[in-house]
Amino acid sequence: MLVLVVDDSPTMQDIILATLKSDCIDVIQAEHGVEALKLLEQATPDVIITDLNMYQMDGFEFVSRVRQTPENEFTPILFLTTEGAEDLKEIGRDLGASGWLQKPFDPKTLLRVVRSVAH
Amino acid sequence: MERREQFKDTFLQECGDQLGQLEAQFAALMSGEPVPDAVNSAFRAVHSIKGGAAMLGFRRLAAVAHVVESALDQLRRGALVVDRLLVDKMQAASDVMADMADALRRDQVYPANAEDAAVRDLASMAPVGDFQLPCEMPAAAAQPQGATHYRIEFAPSKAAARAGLEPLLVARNLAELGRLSSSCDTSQLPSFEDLDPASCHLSWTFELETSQPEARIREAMEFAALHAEVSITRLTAVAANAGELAAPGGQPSIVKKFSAQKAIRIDLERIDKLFDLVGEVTIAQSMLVQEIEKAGLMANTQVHRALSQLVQLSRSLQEGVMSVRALPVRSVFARMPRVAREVAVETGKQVRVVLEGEDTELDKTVLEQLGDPLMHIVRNAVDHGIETPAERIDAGKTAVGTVRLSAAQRGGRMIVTVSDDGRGIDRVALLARARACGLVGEGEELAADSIEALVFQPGISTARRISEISGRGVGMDVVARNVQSIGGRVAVRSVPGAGCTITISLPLSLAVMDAMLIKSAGQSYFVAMSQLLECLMVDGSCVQSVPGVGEIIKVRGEPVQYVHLSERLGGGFAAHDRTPVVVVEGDNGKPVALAVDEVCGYRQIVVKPLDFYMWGGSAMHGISGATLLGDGGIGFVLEVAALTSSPWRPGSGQPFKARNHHSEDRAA
Repeated sequence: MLVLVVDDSPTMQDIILATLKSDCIDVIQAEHGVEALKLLEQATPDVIITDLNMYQMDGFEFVSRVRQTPENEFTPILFLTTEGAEDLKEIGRDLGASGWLQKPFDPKTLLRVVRSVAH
Repeated sequence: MERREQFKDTFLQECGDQLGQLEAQFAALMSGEPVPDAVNSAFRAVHSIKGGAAMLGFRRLAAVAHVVESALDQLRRGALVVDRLLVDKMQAASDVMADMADALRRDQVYPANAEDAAVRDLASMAPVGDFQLPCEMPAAAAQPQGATHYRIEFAPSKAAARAGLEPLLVARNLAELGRLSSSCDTSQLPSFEDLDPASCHLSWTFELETSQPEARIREAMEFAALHAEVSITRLTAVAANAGELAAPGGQPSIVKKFSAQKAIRIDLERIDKLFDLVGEVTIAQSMLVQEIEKAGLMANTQVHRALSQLVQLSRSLQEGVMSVRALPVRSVFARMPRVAREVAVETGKQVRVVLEGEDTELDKTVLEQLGDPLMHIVRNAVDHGIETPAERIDAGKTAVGTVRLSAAQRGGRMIVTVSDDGRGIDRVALLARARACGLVGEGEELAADSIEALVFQPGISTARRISEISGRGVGMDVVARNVQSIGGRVAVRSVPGAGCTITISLPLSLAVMDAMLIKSAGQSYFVAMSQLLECLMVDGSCVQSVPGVGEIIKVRGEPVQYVHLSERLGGGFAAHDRTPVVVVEGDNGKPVALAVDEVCGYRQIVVKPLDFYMWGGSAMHGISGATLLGDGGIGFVLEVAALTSSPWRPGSGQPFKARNHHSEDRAA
């Protein structure tokens, strides 16, 4: 399984990478939405995990752009963010995200959710 | 806890960067730059700090970041306007964060409550909603950090009970501060006849492990102290990791027993440094041996004995340091059953994985490099090797295929094998593909094992479709390359219809090597003893030329490929009547005879990677490293497998040429 992780925090990237790798999931990483969209031109991940607050193209815009590309119209997308406000989650849902996980996350939960949304 | 340590450095690095960013944005706000940009950047910076700190359980740091973040959020939403005082307060809070990060970096405890003033000041200007950590890192949260061990002697006066002192309440108060144990002294208890039920005859000794300041203990004992003798002694710091004062008052927490701790954590860098030094000692020692031999002192028994003792000791030292870096292969093996299952599910196959020799130890660096190639081999075995249950039953096998991983130490090397009981390699298809790729010329015939070795050539894949699993741009050639880059060799053996075995042979350590010194065309070379089969003198008349194969000699009746080392390395050679020859284990385990000018004898060498100090980062074909000779010269370590790889034809390549740097295969 291949997962694209979009997060601008190296700490988060490291932790998410270690979590996914521990379960033998391959990972590609992007620092922000712009870089992630470039990667998506070459790779088709099974699941995308994205942060919300990033310095270039935030998570919401990234997700709406991803949904506009035919290859990734149905790729499961998870938000993984410290934000937990209901109105934000609502926006995420409307944009077509498959799930919302809050930081700090429990590694086991992340793996379970990633596995459950992957086709 | 482990997680926290693992990511702490990354976090602190990031935290430093983000705090710098924060400071720059505060300066921008003060100088009247457009507010939204600066506020947004500052928000993101502090947001990242908060996220990382919360994730790793640095709760106090996360809490301060939260206060700053919520102030910036209110600025962002226009609920507050920028003014000097507010920015000052945010600056003060960010200074607190910097100090906290600094304390974490030094494994010190940030003084209790030192952040309160800054937080309160800022919160008074920018109200903060409740900050809760939505879910705690299970390991990080339960550990009281920087806990201290106190002994509290508590001896109520005889009149204490009448004054309303309830010892149980005292104990409960203390238990709220941390982990409490108590013992009761009953020695003053009078006999039943003499007992006055209204007075107190007992005293207690409490042992408390808490991360709370001593003042909190005094507070808890305050009332009791009026009617009892109370003494509080600070015993020891229980802290294994004085990371942060994190335990919330209120819950008794669980503390690991550190007294029984027999293991310590050591920075890998320090071990590497030690390892390097041991290497230098080895070199100095071989110089010494050489000088002593030259001076003719070896005949002196005393010198000889002292010297052999030195050699033996330094070898023990080497092995000792090496064993510190050794880890069981279990950590890498353990991932494989899941890998196999994953592929099996995707391909509709059934497979069980058997692991053998997981406790075999291997150098950490080598082990880390082993994971990816191994994972790929296992994927390949299930994807291409194991048949579907229906096919297997038709072939008279059990429906469930078996992939067996084993590790064992043999002759100074680690042998890791992955074998499956699948269909084996389709030699006909493989050869056809190799011909199509131009790797094997039309009409050129190859032996069965040479055909199988073709799987390690780039561009070969016999899978009918590029599968999702093993076809992600990484072929067996990359596996072979990765293994070779850590001084290992890969070989494949397959029985059609019965399965395939891939054998990886690895050096136990990367740095120190037992090797044979040989000379060719005036240059010194080393062949690893583990690859050396024998040394011979060969008469020029014994060399036969076989069309299509090249020169061979017969070693005990067996034909062996005969190669002039100097020619392979790009130079010419002079034919001698009698030529010294070293027979080495070449590509895919086949013996190859290398003709050299001189075989000088056994040496112990410290191998330095060539890439880093010569040749501008490119590796040379056939050379895997270099070492300093006793006389200060340089000797090259031969990468025998590459030097003798089978589909090599004179003139087709220039072996002694800089090889292109391998491009990264991963998309990232």
